[in-house]
Amino acid sequence: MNFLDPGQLRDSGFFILKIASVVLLALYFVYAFIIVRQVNLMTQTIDVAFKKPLKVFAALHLIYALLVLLYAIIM
Amino acid sequence: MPDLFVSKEKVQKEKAHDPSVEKTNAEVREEIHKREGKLESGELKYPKDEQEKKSLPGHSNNPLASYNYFPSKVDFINKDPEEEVILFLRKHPITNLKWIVLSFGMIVFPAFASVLPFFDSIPSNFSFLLVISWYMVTFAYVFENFLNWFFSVNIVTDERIFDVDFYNLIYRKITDANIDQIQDVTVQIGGGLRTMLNYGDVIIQTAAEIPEIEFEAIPMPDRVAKVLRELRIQEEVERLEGRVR
Repeated sequence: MNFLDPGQLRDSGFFILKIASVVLLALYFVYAFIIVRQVNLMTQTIDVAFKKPLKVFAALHLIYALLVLLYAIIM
Repeated sequence: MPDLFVSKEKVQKEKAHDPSVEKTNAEVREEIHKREGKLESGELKYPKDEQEKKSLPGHSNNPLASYNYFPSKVDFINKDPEEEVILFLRKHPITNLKWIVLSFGMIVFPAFASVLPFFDSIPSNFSFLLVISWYMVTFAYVFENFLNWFFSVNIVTDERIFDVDFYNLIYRKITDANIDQIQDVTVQIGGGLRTMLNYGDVIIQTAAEIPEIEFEAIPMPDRVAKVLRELRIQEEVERLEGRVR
């Protein structure tokens, strides 16, 4: 396994790639947040059974997006 | 001498109890049946309680059902407290096949992509980041498609019809029309798959601002058209009896 140190990363050309990854993942985090808001709006528009699992999935997805973003930052 | 100062409520009450009006309503019903064809199952019968609902054909407790007759625990925005939901419809599940197959492809793709020479040249940090990002996007793709299917519904109540469309996460369209504004109902089933699985479109022409409402790819469209026809008859009878809500 060839894991780069953050120090090595700065020196190599992958630093730009890292910046790009962080920016894209930050935008994706915003999108994940929009998903959570829209699921809430949808469940208010149509109130049916199964809405709790959907809200849980949306929240889990948001947390996952945040963890991926944090990994990209500290990588 | 005509009654000039009789209140409207009194006139409506008299009309409701007037046997000659009731006879006219029966004649109206007969006329409509002759014009549009008599229903095989007879009048629409409203269940009195949840137990009776469960015994109705077409009723389902499955929250993912595409066809639900007198569904339990369904509510929607702007619903009147007295309004009864008669049909709760979604697109036939087979319409989801395309994105389900694509999702399986997206799930197994990293296993095949890792053999590409490109992945040998990038550090493991990045390849791990790529993989977890790929699965995150896959999950979002599946979730968004599921939400679009789940919340794009067609609702028929005893007073109105609703068409709720979520085209994507940030764009939704809700159309409704009163039952008494329906002018024409057309059922369209085209193609081998639709004929085999009995799903199709119900196109409803209305006298409302939106002239056409379409229930797309719904199961058992003939049965839906039948229910709509019976509701129109009921509305017309209510209008003649002065029981308009």
